[in-house]
Amino acid sequence: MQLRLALVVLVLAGGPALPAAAQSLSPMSNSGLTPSDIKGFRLMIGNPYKTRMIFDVLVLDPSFVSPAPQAVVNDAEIALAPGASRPVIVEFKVLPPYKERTIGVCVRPKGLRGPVQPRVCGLYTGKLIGARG
Amino acid sequence: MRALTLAAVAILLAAPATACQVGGATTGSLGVLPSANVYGSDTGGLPAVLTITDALQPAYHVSVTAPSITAAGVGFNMSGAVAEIAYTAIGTGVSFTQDFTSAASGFDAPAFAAAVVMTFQSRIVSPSGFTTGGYGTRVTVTCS
Repeated sequence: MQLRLALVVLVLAGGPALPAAAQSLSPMSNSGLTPSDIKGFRLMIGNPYKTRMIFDVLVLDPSFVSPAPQAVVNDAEIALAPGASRPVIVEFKVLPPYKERTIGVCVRPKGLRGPVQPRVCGLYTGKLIGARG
Repeated sequence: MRALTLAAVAILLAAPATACQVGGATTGSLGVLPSANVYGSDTGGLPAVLTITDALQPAYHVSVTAPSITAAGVGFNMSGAVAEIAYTAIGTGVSFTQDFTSAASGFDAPAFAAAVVMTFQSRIVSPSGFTTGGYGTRVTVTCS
């Protein structure tokens, strides 16, 4: 049993401490009017750290859990050099009968292994012109 | 001169809130524990470390999902096994401690919390013990 326990080396994501990914999303919240039922936002994804990284850009519900229907991002996967940033365009439909809609956008490192999955998320609201409050 | 100063202030105020920058993490590892029912990073392993930085970000929220078991040895009895996580978050205006929990958790950081270092300890509690193999847990940390 002692030997067996000794053999059970429990490793999280490969064992040794490794540098993981980093990301940024700007702005982290925004809202705006739209004359049609489609609203778009230009968001900046940044890689402020020292290694090249690939990020997933996810369009989710406002609680950042489920994919948002009728919402897209032009680059769902982007590769960024160290210190680089790049814009993405997120578009979503303001679904009737509602006059406004809020979606969530999250950026996370692609394929990151390990016990802690970091992500940065923001909320973006589109309002139909004429809708008040 | 005053106009120039005011213009500079206006530009600063108009600048979009920059993002949480999440990174500088280490993955950590679990260690072999004396107890046959608990394996964790806090005895013999390494904690995972994550840094959230941003000098311009307004107040933000950090949420941590309930931990899950992502890898287990062959024949491991999952029933009754629980993944738990504990962490500290230390930084400018932030001093938060979460004891070991299997539930979702989180904390608020005030504006200008320029650098918050989060240190995570993970463990798996299994009343029926462990089989030989690799074990892992996972949480998602969201800065929003």
